[in-house]
Amino acid sequence: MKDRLQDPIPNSYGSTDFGPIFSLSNSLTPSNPINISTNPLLSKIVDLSPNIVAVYNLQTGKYIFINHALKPILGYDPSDWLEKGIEYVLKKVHPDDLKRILKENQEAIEYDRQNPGDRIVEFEYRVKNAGGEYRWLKTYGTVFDRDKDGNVKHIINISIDITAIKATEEKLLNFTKKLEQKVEERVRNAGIRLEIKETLSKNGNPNQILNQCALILNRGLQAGIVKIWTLEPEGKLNLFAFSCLEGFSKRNLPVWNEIKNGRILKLKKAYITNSLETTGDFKEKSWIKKHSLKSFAGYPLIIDNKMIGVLTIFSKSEISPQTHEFLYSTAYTIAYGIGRLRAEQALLNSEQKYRTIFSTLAEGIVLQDLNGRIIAANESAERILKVSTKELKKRSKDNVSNSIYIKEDGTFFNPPDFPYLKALETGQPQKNKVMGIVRDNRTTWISTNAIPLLDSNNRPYAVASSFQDITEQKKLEKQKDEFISIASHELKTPLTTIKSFNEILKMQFGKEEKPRYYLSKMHTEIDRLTGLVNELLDVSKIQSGSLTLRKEIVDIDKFIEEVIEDIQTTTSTHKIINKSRVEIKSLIDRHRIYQVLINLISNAIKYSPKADKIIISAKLKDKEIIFSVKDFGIGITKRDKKKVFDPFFQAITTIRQSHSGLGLGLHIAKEIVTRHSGTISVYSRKGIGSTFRFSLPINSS
Amino acid sequence: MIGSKILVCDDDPGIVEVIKIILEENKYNVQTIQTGKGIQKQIGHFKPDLIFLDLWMPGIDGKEITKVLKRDPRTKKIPIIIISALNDTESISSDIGADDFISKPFAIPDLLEVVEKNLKKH
Repeated sequence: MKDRLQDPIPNSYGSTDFGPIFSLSNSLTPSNPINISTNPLLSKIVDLSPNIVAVYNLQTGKYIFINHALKPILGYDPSDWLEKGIEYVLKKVHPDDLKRILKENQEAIEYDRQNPGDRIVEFEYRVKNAGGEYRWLKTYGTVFDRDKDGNVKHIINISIDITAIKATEEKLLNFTKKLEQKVEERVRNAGIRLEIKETLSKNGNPNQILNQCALILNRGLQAGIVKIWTLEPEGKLNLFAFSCLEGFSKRNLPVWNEIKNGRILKLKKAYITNSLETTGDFKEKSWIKKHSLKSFAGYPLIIDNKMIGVLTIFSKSEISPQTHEFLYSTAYTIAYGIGRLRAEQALLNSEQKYRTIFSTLAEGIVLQDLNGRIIAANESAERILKVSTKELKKRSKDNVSNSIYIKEDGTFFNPPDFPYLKALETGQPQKNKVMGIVRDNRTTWISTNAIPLLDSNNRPYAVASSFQDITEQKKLEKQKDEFISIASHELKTPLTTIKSFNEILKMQFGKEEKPRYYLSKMHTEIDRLTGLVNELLDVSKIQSGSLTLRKEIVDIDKFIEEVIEDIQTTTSTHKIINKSRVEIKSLIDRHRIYQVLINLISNAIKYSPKADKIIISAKLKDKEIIFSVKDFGIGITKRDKKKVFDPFFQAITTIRQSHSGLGLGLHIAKEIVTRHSGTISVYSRKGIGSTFRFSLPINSS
Repeated sequence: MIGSKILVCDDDPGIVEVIKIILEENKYNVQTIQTGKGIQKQIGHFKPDLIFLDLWMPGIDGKEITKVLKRDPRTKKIPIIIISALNDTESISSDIGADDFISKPFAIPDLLEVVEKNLKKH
């Protein structure tokens, strides 16, 4: 040991003192230098040191002492370094560290020149060992001694091998860095997700919204190209939305992902590669290289287990596992968004359709809630009612009206009778209700249908009313009524003259058989014509609602007897049998009920040509008088039964009737009975006969 | 009552003629007028025991004439029989204060019956 210590130190340097090192200790001072070779304590300490201890001349660059630790640490022989000097050693220093340590060294010397003192300077650097590997050293250096001018002469260094520490440190640093990166990435991804979610929750053009999503994703990830593909019904993928960052041309997008899309589509699985250069399709290689694209990832867009498209990304940077995970879930977010947008679009389309129909309908439509408040009204409603929807809503809310509502007969329409209230009350649709709206001395006639809207419990919660303006129609109807009225009047006047002259002739020539026969034929025809004219007049009155009743107290039993007496004179084929006995007087329009009975009996005679009797009866039941006329004729078919009371109905029969009439009699009869608050019905069996029944409420006051 | 004076007022010449014939055949003294205008003058001259009056006539119609005649103390006792083709002649005639009515077309016996009935009243 002694030898080795002594060995590297030439004698010429033997006088070198070790003062600076020991200046830290109290026992040794520079003024009392100790020769290393002659100081056994010092040489033992240096020898035992696991660290490299070296002393070199700053001026000559030569080592004057290196201990044995050099060999186990760096693998060099101390003699080698002693011989070759500091220049040689510096060449072994890692080029990245060399400049720095030279600079630091220079600074230290400079500093020392201005503020002389024995400071300790530290360096950390890599040195190539004898095996060619770099080892990290930490070197503490300080002034060993100075020349007589005070300039630094020798430097002493102690170098510690810190390779292991450095490696651990680096590992720790890497770990921290990665952790930071991960956190950063997560924060960034969360931001992107939020922005995408916000965008997807907007309403509007799905294409625009998804383009915006692609842009957010692309910009957020600094990727390159983001595409959103949707699956078309025929199984093809359609590029629905995309975004490309600067430097990419929209025209020249790679198609490589389209190849991968098929796979993603088929397997419903994400695909990712971070080494595009080696996995990309050959055709795309140059393109990928040109834009230095590193990675590609594709994700299926799935809603309810159904593929609806693919999300693809080309990125210039690697796609980390957590970003992959993020994209995977973002694909679901996007898929859900597409689903929502599509559903909304579909709804919008259908709503638009209905809105168009609603607003273009010629009928006015008004929607009212349970309180009669108007929720919606279409343009036709505004036009017909001559009020704006806004005003309508306001009025219905405040429950004010500047109009009077009347019925066809001119009486007031009371609120409970309003079709919409009736519909709400009964839950039944109200059809073709005619109502006159009188405002500013003008009447608008409307025909309205009110349909209740029922909830799941079948309770009405609103009512939709549709109505037509029938003012013009009413006017025409009135003109028609007037015309028919005048026409029948005008027809009846000459009829009167003919009839009278016929009778005058009969008086003069009635004794001769032939003229009497001819004149009586004429007479029958005149009466028939008169009947037809009267029927027309009655129907016209029914239709215009001007058929009014003149009720009087009538003894029903007597009344029926009179009717039978009158009709019996016109028929010789049928015996009219009276089975009535009610012993009651009631308020009826004698004239009109007479008309009903005559009509029913005439029909009975007409449709039972082979029978010889008709049975008339009147009975009391509850608070009604039930009249019935029974024949034993051909009967009525089931199909005809429903229609017999319709205007102009003609039963198709095998009987050729010369007196077939206009088919208005039963219609008029029904109307007269209805006006009396009664009902009329028919019971019939084909080939056996028919019974017509009508009821009239008893009213003795 | 044979010889009673009857005034027939109707704008339709056929009706006027046929009523005149029927009534004259039955020995009534008949005068006719085809418009409501001037009817009061004719009543003044003719002094009828009964008047047949059409409801619908151009100018002054039967309703107005009835009202006027029934208001006038000199004429209010003369029975007025409305002749009309309207189905509700009965109600109208009683509404306006006429004494009786006959609907067109009528049967001759009915016409004569109405005349007899109303002449008897006075």
